[in-house]
Amino acid sequence: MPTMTQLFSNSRDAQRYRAAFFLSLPALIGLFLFHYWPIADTFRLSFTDYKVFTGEFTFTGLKNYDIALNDPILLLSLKNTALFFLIKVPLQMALGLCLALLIAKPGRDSTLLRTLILFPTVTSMVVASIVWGMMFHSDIGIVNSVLEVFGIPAQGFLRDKNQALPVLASITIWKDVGLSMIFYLAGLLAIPWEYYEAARIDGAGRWGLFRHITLPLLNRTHVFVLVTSTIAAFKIFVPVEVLTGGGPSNATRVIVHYIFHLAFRFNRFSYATALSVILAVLLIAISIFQLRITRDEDDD
Amino acid sequence: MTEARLRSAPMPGASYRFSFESLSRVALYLIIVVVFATPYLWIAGSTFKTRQDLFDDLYPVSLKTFLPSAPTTENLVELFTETNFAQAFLNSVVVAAMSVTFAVTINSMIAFVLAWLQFPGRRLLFLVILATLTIAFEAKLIPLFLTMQQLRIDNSLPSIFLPWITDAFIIFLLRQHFAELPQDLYDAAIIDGCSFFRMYWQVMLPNITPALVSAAFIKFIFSWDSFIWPSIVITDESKTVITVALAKLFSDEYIRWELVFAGSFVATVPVVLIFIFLQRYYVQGFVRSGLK
Repeated sequence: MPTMTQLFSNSRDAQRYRAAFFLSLPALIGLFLFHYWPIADTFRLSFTDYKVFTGEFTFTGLKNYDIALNDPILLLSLKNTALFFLIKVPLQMALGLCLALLIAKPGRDSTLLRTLILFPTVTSMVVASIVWGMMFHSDIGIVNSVLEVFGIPAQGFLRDKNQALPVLASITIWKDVGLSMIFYLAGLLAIPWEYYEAARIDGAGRWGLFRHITLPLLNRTHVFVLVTSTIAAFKIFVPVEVLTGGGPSNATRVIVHYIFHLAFRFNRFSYATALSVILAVLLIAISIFQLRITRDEDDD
Repeated sequence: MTEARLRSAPMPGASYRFSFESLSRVALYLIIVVVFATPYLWIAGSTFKTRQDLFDDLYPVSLKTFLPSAPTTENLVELFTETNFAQAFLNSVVVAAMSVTFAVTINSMIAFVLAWLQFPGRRLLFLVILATLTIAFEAKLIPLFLTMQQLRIDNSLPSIFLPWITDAFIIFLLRQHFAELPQDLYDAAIIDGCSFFRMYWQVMLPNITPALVSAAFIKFIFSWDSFIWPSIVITDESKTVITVALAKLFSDEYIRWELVFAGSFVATVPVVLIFIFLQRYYVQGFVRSGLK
């Protein structure tokens, strides 16, 4: 580019920069008005106390964070969110990889299968929650009806405090696994075919090929899917709001749901912003941690 | 070596045989189809049943659960005439259309600048934009809501899509595609005396059409799916969107199951149909932005 630009006068450059400025301006306004300013404001409000009657925020220092440290429901929400993440993410990654391996072979039926598995990713989370909520209904749901055929007694599912969170995790896995699958599919297709041929000539079996070629060469894909699905798992909200409301007996009380209800049901805006800051910091820390440990593996 | 190559090469016809492996493969396919298709078949079947049939066919599960024996459009008619679903559907369409139009326009403009203009701080600006991806939008909902109130645009359709127009994901995706266009294209346009704006609009933009379709469709899905933000910023029934209207139907004390099914049907059919046609762009959009 520099060689061409040198051919032209300064006025042309000035005109170009002016055009570039106006082309960038709308996006920049959006960026600062709706991204950076609210984030800064979340931080500011977390040091205040909101008065419902006057609508004013008064500075109170670290008081909200102090309350947070001794808030049993916050602790419970974080514990449930972490549990949700532990159920969802490993399962979704494993299933995503398996599905990708299954349909990596070209052919008409695998294309149809891919389309079907991707349907949930374009279906609203609200619809997915509702339809699976009804299928897991403990009295009239299809799932219990199917279990009965196999002689398994009816389960409580969303009404059972031990089953509710895993059921919600299954619903979101159903919804999201298609995206993990296409990332893995792209990763698989990028592995040079010659590697497999060479290893096979060296006498590697199928498991050996998978263990020593497929898995390690998918490393970048693993990291990407891990980090993005972890962030998504920590932000679980819609199925909780639509199906359980945090119950039964707080078994599905998760962090974003707790923040949402503090702010928009109980008007505790300031305390909710403090929890938002904690959530944001937590997510960044987890992402960095995951990137770090996976990079260490690369060095081995 | 050639022998090994031949043996490993899939030969048409030769590989087809009944074995434990091919049987288990078929079984796997079946399980996948059942798990992924059942909810859709159930929604579609139940939408066209009367409330009585719906409950009669529910338990135990049989073919009748998915196929209406006496199909009726009663539920859809009732949904559109007796609830605010028609309005909510229309609002969702308007919001999605606005969101897509503005997002593709505005983000492609800045993506072009980031790809084709050398200026001090270019990398920094790009990083500042990408950094927004690391912060959960849930963490800024409260000030965003208060801002909407202060601007006095809360409870309006623009307030639903305005905050999400600048989209780092789209900027990243489109910048990638702009940057891959050949230098010759740029040089030729410069020699022809093309202005910077025309370079964007007439020379470069038409060359990344597939990426624009990807961005537009992914934004459309995002908009159609949005639930938290509209449920916060909209209090007026007439301005509600389809997801919120559906969740409300589902949370009523006396749930009209047949309407919930019809509502789910109406909320799902348009996106799934569009998806079938735009699937390639959808997959490309995610794959290209994820792994480069």
